[in-house]
Amino acid sequence: MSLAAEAFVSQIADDQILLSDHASSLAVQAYLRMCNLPVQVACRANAEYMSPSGKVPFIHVGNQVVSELGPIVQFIKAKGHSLSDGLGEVQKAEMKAYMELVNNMLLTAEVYEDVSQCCQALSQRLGTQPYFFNKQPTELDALVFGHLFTILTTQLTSDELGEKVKNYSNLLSFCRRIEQNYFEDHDKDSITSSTSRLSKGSSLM
Amino acid sequence: MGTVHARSLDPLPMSGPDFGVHGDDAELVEVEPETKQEVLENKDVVVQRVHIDGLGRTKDDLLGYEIAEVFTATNLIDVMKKSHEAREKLLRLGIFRQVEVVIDTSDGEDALSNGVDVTFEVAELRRLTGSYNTMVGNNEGSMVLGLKLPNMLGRAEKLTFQFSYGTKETSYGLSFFKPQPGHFDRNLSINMYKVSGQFPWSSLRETDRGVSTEINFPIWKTNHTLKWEGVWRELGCLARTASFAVREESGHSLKSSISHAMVIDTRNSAILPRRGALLKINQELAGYTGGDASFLKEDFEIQLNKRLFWDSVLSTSLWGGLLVPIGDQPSCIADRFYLGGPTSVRGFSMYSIGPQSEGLYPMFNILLGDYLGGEAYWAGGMHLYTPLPFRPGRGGFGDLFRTHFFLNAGNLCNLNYGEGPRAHLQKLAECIRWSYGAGIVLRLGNIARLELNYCIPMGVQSGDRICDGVQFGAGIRFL
Repeated sequence: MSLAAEAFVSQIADDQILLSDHASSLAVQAYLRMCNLPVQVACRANAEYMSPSGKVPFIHVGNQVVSELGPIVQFIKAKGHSLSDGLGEVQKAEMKAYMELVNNMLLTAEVYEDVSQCCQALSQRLGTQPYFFNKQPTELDALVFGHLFTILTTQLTSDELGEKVKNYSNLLSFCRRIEQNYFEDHDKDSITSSTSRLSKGSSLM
Repeated sequence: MGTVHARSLDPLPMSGPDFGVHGDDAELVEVEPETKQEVLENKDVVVQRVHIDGLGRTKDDLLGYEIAEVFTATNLIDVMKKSHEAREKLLRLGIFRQVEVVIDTSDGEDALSNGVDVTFEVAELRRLTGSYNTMVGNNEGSMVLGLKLPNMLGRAEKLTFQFSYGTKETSYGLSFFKPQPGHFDRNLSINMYKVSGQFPWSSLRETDRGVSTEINFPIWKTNHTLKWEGVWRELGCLARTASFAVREESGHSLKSSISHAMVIDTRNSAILPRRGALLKINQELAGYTGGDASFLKEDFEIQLNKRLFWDSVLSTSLWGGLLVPIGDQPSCIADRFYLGGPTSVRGFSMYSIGPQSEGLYPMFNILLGDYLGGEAYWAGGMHLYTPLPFRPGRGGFGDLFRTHFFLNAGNLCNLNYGEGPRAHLQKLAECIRWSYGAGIVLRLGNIARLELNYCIPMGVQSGDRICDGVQFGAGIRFL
């Protein structure tokens, strides 16, 4: 079953998007691309008012509108696409726990200690594997990618946050890997081109 | 009407039914029997003094204009007539509870033999009046509190505040009105308001917070209004099932517009007129004074009334409007026109004609989409009003009712502004919706009316929602 999704993000001008909104939007885009579903990104100034829950991003598929990563994952699953089907019960619980960790600690990305500790936990869990649950990416990978990539590529007042993440080389290469595999082959919505609009630096290297 | 007292040296009673003079009320003064009788109508008089008694906070200079005409009267009937007109003008200011006129012969040293003094005895309105109502509407109840400060600063200024607290929405408004002294028809109004509404036919909720200033002035026989309005509009979906087209319009926007309206109204009444005509032309230009909305909007209303045989009235009306967006942005759902309903083309559901979004299950035609309004419309109506059959309650309650037979038609669509006017007219002429029927109309005061009609809709296009059979309507402006 093919689903052509339109993802709506809140964006008034190129550099006017909230950090957390951008991270969430990137996570959703990564997830949809990992599921091999075509997605187009639309920027609207009133996206958060259009959203049924008031939060961005949301996707518009056919007649339906679903917002936020959690419900979107459920919705895609109901349509027959899932990345975490192969996981056992214990692993699923673990995945949920890590997603909560990322949501609580990286969403605000203001307290550097929190970011540092979160990155340490993630780095330890990732180890030398390509993705968190070995060979195949799951929604956790999409979420982590969204947040870390946003921190790394958005110019903030100081580079301290970015530096903290860069301390963990396996997280860096993890982000690069996802960027290469899922974003670089599409010219229009490529992460590299969109981030070069968002920040002055282009990719991670 | 008020009573005019006139004291005279003659025992002849006054007459003049137009001015509400009762022969019995004329006081007779004892006179010497040798005073000869005069026919007062032809008696030349000079109005020497005009007094106004009972002023409190009203400033003196305001009233000079209203009573100036009285001085020009040359005979007694003229004095009475001009005093009556002056009384009407004083009441029109909206600052007096009542006005009584007393005409008396002049007293004092400089009194002429044919001099009269005219005195207006007035009672000012209280400084603050309040009202409290409860209203019940479409699945909604509300309390309405009104406060009015008439004649606030002594020159007929008026401040009004209204607050409506409902089960669904809350609205309030503050309004300041100031007429030009001596020219009441030229006035200025400043308003601030917050109004919320729910529009189930579009699955839309709208909240407007706005400020407006307007000036009214007459030019010859027409009345003009110039207005600037700034509104902060907030649109939202009324239900989770709102269509995406409506969802896309959600959010906040600003509209800043200037508008001009011209009205010529020769009807004897706004509700159920018997004769006369109405022409109203309104244009609004948004975007040149700021804000997000940018458009030019024109609309007009024409109504003609003619009395026919046997106390019946033939009334025809025509409405039309055009919305032209300026610039790249498409028009906003809150600015477009809507058609259909008991006050518009009868026989169709409220605002349920014309362009709409896709329904939830288009292949089954279940759950019709949301009505999005249109950028151009026209609507026409023809009515024959007659008194109730057999005229029950004649002279009293029965006079508030009328039966009417009607024919309504109209169309609402979006125009492709690239094409020429011929294509536009063609588009407005195809797929015309129309209806006919009969019903009973009840007049409510001078402002509103209720209708209960039996309607037969025709020319129904797919997507229109109809209300054939009995339809009830209440409102102030009917097609």
